[in-house]
Amino acid sequence: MVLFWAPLQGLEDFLKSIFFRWISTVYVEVIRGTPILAQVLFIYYGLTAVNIGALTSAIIAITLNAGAYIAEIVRGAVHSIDKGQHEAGRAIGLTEKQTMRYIVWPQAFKRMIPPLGNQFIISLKDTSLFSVIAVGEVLYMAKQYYNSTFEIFETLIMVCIFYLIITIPTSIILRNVERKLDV
Amino acid sequence: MIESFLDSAYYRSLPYLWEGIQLTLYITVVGVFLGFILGSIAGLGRLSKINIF
Repeated sequence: MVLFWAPLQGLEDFLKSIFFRWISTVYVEVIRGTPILAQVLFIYYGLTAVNIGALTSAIIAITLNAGAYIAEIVRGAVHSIDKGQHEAGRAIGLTEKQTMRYIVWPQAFKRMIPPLGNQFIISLKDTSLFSVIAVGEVLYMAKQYYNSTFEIFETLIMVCIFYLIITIPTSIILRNVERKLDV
Repeated sequence: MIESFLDSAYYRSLPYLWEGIQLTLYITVVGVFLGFILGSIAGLGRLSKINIF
């Protein structure tokens, strides 16, 4: 039991530490302050010692990039919840964890939905940058196609239509969810 | 009208683009999902006043 509990306690202590807060801040500032194209190229060409494939590099890059922006969304949403909610939770005898889990987080998550949807659309469009490292996403496939057929205009129109088919319904769904949840 | 579309370059490019469309959606969904987990940890870690851990 001790063998199981001790590492978890260590992890909890680590997450509470100023060092973890410092790591989070550095991560968010570095990723938000650099272009995603530079991040992708760094992960794919820069980390040659690790030798990861193009698709893995792309997923790591989009995860790190979206994560940094989502971190700010989460922080902002939790901060936006009135301090009284937290105090009310503590007043009825809940622990800090329980207050966060049952009172603050559900309210904060509701407020996160619109910016998270926005981030999804941004990330979808950012995937087009992965064509520079030969990930076979839609723009890369389009390039491959029009290089052999020279039907550039038509192919790129189809690429734009694809993006619109995804982004417009996503926006409509988000608007409906916002209206339903009264965000 | 439909026949002319089926003959067009727009339609011809579709099967080729389809593979790319699937991969684009895969990368986005997986990336945003993992990003949400990572972002939640980093975002809550950055909170100065509320200590949730």
